[in-house]
Amino acid sequence: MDAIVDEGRLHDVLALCEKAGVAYADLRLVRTRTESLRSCNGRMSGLRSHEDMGLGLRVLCNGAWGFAGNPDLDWPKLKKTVERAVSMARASAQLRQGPVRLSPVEPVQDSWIGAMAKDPFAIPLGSKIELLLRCDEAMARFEKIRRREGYLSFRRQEKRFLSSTGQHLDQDCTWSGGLLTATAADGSRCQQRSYPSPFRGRLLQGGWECIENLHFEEHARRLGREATMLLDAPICPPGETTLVLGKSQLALQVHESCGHATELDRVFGAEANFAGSSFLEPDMRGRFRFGSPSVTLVADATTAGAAGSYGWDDEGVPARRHDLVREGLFVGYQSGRDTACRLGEPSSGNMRAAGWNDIPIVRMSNVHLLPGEATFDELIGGVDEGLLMTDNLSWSIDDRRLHFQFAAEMAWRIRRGKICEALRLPVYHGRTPEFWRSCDGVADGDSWEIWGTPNCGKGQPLQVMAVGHGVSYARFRKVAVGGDHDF
Amino acid sequence: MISEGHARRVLERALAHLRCDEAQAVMRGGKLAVTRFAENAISQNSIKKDYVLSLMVVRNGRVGQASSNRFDDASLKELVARAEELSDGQPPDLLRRPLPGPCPLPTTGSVQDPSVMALSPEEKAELLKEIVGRGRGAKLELAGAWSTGDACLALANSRGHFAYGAHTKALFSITCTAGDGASGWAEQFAQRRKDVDPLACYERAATKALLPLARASFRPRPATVLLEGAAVKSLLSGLARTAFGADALAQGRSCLCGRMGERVMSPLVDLVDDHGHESTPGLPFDFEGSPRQVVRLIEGGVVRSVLHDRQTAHGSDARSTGHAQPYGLGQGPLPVNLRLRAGATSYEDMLHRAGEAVLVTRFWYDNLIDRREASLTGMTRDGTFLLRDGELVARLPSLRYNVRLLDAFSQIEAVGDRLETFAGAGSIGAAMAVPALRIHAFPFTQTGD
Repeated sequence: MDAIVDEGRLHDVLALCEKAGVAYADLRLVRTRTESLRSCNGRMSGLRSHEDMGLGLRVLCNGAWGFAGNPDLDWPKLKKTVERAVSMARASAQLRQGPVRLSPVEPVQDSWIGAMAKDPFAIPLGSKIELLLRCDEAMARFEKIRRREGYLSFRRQEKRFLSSTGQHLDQDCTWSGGLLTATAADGSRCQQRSYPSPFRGRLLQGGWECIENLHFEEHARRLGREATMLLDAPICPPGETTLVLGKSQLALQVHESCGHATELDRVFGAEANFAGSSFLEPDMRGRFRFGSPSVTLVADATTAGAAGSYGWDDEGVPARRHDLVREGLFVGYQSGRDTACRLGEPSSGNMRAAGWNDIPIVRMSNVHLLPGEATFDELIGGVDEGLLMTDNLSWSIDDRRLHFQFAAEMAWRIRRGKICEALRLPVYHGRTPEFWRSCDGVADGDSWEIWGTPNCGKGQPLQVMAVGHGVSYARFRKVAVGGDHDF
Repeated sequence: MISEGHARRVLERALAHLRCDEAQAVMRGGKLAVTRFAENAISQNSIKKDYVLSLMVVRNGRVGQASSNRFDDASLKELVARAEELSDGQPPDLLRRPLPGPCPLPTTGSVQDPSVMALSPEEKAELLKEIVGRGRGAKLELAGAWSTGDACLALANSRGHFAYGAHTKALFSITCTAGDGASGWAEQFAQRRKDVDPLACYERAATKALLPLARASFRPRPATVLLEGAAVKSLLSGLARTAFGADALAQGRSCLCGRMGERVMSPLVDLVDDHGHESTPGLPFDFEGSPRQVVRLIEGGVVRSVLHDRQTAHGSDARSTGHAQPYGLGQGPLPVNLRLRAGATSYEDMLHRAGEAVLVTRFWYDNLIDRREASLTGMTRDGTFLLRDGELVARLPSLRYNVRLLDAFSQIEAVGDRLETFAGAGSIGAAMAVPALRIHAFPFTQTGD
């Protein structure tokens, strides 16, 4: 990073902030590199490489925040960035409640590098392309597959964080992910199957080894077969049933109904106009039964290889693991220095910005449902009549994170403890606390995996970030299920 | 904002470095200042700018694209090298269409209003102080965002084609929440500063939050709905994502498959993608440089046209309609400037003739369940009321809907006489203009009680 901007110059920026009367300032110098490959119906339809860098400066002046981002890093432009950020803060101070207060953080000078074994940018392009085209060929063997898609994405971010309170933190993260989707159509219906999950796939922190571990080619043919089979599969019948969720479906359930509900800025109304609030009020901590005793949810930014892991958040607060729901009891939030201070607590280290050009806001890091004690077979074996859903298709939840409706690409009927026929268009809905209280079993660590949501959106302007979720399988009783609008 | 001349110079410098058969350089970006407020105070105040230069290179039929936000000579040379390396690593794309040569472009509908960018954070704060003062007086808690910015898109290719478009944009949205949790919301979007009135937005939202109405429960059932513009926009956006692209139709993924020339909606529906209309101003070219046509998608409820890019047009013996999306996103052609034609019914008449109905301010978290069926789900938010004989009689909880969009648009009883413009998704210059609609038998399937 020294080659981009001399570190002395960055300290000059902070000095200029101090001279302008700023009480606190932090800056992020970020360089990002991405590469994505997309195949569609036998063609490489997108091969893109992107690099960008810039500086984001956040200041606290007259008790209010201001932020300015600039890609131009010469000194006159850096000075201009300071002027803009201070000007924004002073304008904010014209309409504030009390002054912003920050929970303390230790000044640390250190560095952190995320997990990576094989640099994905060093893998020959030909290898990546051949992988996608071989998978395409496997999916193409099925006549009714009308659209075959493959996607690989890689991202590296180098970040230098400096603050006026003495922090100097360098972080280097690499993410890799991908997906395959086969879409079958027969003139009246259209069904898709994806692996490992739809919507830009499963993103993990790591390198090419993440792609190797996905074993795409072993699944490509299955996707073509299942999408075709689903065209004629019976529709998921409506009713009340036992539901076993796993993989990306359970990961998204955790994300939407637990991850977002525990973001403290939402509780204080920061997202009232956009992403919404939360039904979890501060006085509910330690008292509100969020779920059954089988349910323990943690926020953990230290999980090796998870998409939302880091060394320090974008306020320089160290990554840590803390409980959100402990054996069903709601106990904690994800917070930043200013939101945590309002509760008289230290920050949980959950402030992040999508890029140098964005202001940090409270974001999920990784939110995990901890494994239980049952095996997957025991969970299924305990179902007389029910459904198994693993691959998410659709999701919708209200603005307080209470009432949700999710759909999966397909469901398998479970009958007397055995997985049997496939069903299309399975949809289920519920209310967050009742749903999680109906959880009577979570599978053990043998089936616990980390999933990555690469496209979590929040904030105005919108910031899209990657977050991680470790889940195994979980069983829920008496869940309202419908298909094709039969509710 | 980067001027047309400056953009042309940067793009030409980039193209000059290339050794290839074909190339396209695209620059896009702009500035954005956002003042965000919550709990009756400014919570975030940010200003940012960025421009990205993308170089798509074709060598021996092999395509690669590299992009960067740095435009100095050394960075341009590195960008060129990266793009060439990528294209060399690809197999030849035998189905690829060549880039267009110079061609006349329609007149742009986009507006550049200097007063948008001239609006300072201090001025925003002053007006917000006034608005919050009113809100406090009414015992309301206010949250929202006021963003002002500009955006430009410039494209040049190795065949000598050049296109440039730019516009300013202003967006104000506000949520007012009363002490009992009742809320109202309003939003305005325009390219001209004078067309966004934050005070008027506050009054609309506050009026809804303060309506002295008791809460009532609602048994989930199909009901007549009066959908305000934002709710209509949600439904139309669901259709826009899946229905009109020629690739989706060819692959059997669109609800309009096999229905060209058929009536699929109420005869009251006329839907057009029109970048030149004052309600949906946009850019006159797409990401391939093709001229953007005015496309009448639905006329009198009958499917008339689909959208093409150069690739889908070639496969259909058609012409590009100028709706290509950025290279490599896998989206196919998409609408950018949709307008649902206004009707003849005033809002007041729509209210008074509704009988018993549900008034919906906006929908939230809308998501497709089945793309082929165009079935969509979502919830109401920030102002859902029971309407009876022209009067709002109760405040309702949030309601979940599950609807097939073609059914909804077939059951339109009345179309409002006034268009509201909303920011479109994604593209520079994207906008959507819709009237209010009254629809019967709109299926609410769950309540937020």
